[in-house]
Amino acid sequence: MTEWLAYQRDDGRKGVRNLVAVAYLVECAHHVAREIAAPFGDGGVHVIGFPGCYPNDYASRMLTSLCTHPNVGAVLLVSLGCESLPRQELEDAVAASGRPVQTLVIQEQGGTRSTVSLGRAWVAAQLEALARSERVPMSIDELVVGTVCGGSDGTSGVTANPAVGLVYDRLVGLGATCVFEETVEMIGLGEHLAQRAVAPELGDALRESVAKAERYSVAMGYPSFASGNATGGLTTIEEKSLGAYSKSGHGPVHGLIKPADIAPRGGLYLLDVVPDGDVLWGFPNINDSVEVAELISCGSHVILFTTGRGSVVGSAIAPVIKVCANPETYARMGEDMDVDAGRVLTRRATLDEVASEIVERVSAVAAGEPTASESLGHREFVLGYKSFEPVGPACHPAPLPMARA
Amino acid sequence: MSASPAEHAPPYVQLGDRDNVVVLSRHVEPGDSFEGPDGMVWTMSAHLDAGNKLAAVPIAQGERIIKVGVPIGTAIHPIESGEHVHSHNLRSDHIPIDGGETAMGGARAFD
Repeated sequence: MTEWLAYQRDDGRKGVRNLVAVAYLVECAHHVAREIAAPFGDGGVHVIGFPGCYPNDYASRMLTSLCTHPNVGAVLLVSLGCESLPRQELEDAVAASGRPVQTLVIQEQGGTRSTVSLGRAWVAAQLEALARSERVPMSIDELVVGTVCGGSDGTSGVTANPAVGLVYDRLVGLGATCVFEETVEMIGLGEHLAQRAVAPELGDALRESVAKAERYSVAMGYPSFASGNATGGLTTIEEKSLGAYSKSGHGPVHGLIKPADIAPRGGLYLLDVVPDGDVLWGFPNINDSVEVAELISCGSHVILFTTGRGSVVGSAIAPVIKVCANPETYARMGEDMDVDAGRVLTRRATLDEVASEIVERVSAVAAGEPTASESLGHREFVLGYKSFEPVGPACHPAPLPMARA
Repeated sequence: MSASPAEHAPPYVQLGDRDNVVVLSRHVEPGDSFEGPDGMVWTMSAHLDAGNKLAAVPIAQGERIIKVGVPIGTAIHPIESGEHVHSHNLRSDHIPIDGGETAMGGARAFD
């Protein structure tokens, strides 16, 4: 299936979900936001937000991008009132995108109870209106897919990750946009990645992004490696990197983007999530959910999430498709998984067969079928402090034929 | 790898022709015995989850460990065929997990 019904947005993009986003603008407003969303359960109301009180351009851009994501139909902003995030600018940006938007300021509304009450009423009215949204045909070449691995083990690079690589090769061939990231897990692979660039200046930018990730890891004194990776048989960061990198497939890399940059239409893009400049902000990827949010901020409609040890997370805003690398994890936790890639190890399937299954699942999920993590109510969201320089012209070589004006 | 049932197949796969390690495709328990790629009988002495590496051949101290045809670090002790290859005998050439030195000494061996 390469076509399905989706939701048309004013900027020309189409969504595979029609959500109400409730965004808290500082941690102090989080409980109120959560309470506003709580009665709606799994009914399409997703809480996102920024916990920080001090201003941060990255965080503002992330929230703007997520609130105007094609999967989002309406937005409620919940402000305490004294935080630094520029709420008027955010509201204006959402309004300009053609979406219903409302800002509730707890300190002006008179506290928790009245804000929750007003918020729930607004959300309920939006859900009613969104239920009447028309749907339009959407084809695979309008889809943006992101990928990340979490809870990796020694099977990840043998089954799920190379299968996703094959999926990426196929999807890009069909005109879709595919985004990969995790330069902190491309240690030793910078040159290989640079060689895939469609232009030499882009190759330099890709090489430098991996070098930056290595410098960051050395400065932090710890590579992107968790104890479960080790129990699952991975020993070194370069070994983990080999497996992680295979998710990007074999095709050329068309550009480099950073969080909240909308990926150009069609092609394979590296998302550089490691902050620029001095090591100011701590680990670039404190957990998998940070990376998932950043992939979604670039326009990803769905996320392919490979796991060996058994991650259970989903995400707010975009459905997460769990591709399980380890057959024994799948036997234990199959309810949390969408695709059993571990069959490759037990010789019950080839990588190609698993890749085909993943592509089918992407279409089905885009058409509206819930993923395992969606069905289980997982809507994780994490956003912290970072800073980035804008990408330079080398990061976007000559536009592809399918690029939007 | 061809798709056929693997009930009695050995519990490992060899990913690359030049690899000097194999990867467990299912977990093993102490006492599990099977034939290694060298034709010898390997007997396991510990529980190891799927995904762990066993040496396919004897590996000398200072020799690179090769997986999927590329180096993934350096042996810091001599390793026997069939032995578990992991953080006790394999160290990164890039960024060690424990913040210590790489196999070659120093914080980073090379780019």
